[in-house]
Amino acid sequence: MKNIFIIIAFLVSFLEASQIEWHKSYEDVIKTSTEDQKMIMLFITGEDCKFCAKLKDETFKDPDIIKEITNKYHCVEVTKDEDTYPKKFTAKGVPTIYFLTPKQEVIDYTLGYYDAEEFGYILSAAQRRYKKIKDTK
Amino acid sequence: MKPILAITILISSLSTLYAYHPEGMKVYKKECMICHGSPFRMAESRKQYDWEQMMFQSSRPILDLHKNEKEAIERLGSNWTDKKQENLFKFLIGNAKDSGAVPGCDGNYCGP
Ligand code: HEC
Repeated sequence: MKNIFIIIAFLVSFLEASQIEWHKSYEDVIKTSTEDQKMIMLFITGEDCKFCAKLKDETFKDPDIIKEITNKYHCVEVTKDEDTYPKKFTAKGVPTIYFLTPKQEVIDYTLGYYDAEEFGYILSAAQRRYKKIKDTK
Repeated sequence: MKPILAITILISSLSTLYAYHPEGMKVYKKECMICHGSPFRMAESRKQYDWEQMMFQSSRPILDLHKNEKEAIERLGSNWTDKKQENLFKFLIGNAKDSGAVPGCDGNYCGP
């Protein structure tokens, strides 16, 4: 009986992604997203960026946020002025996040730290904007 | 003086140091974010002049904007105040497309 619970727990842990999976590079994320047409979340960080760390350690650990992001986006983290990614994605400050279509068009962007509730609003607004973009095409 | 009042005064005087108008940001987060999401994208969607025009066009420009959006009117209508409006527009104007706001390490993010 005990074994069954362990097996179930094991299976459930596979269904629910427990963390955000980060792709290795911008190039890599574009490739994957072109294949399966998921949107892209481009997370621009900086050196010694405490609000980037806070966003990652707190907001991006929230189960609902993880689920929402994992379902809809492929994610990549780049360091401003250091890693290779298109220059048109400017960042007035860090953290800056761009939500992109698989074709790298900007759906939405955001600047700064937000808690899980606020970030949830940002994600759903981005989702609505994406739908609008698709509907007008 | 009641301690809570002292704290409020302290916080509000500290917060004027921030370039991005934390009071206005707070209003945005509380009243607008649920429907519009990203605060800086909203602020940067217009130029300073356009926000100013909007601000002066009536006494309740935000409600006018949403006059056909029943849900927004229900959410905003009952508890909208002059103070909230003033702070919100400070944030929107201060971070407009052409504001050139390049802050240092601010309330929730760091500049270049
Ligand atoms: C209940 C949801 C809701 C709330 C709350 C809300 N809005 Fe809106 N707003 C809408 C909808 C729906 C529209 C019209 C469709 C559109 O253009 O997005 C709109 C339109 C607008 C527009 C004109 C279109 C644009 O995007 O430039 C502005 C500006 C705006 N809202 C600002 C605000 C501000 C500032 C607040 C907070 C004080 C706010 N809204 C609160 C739903 C809402």
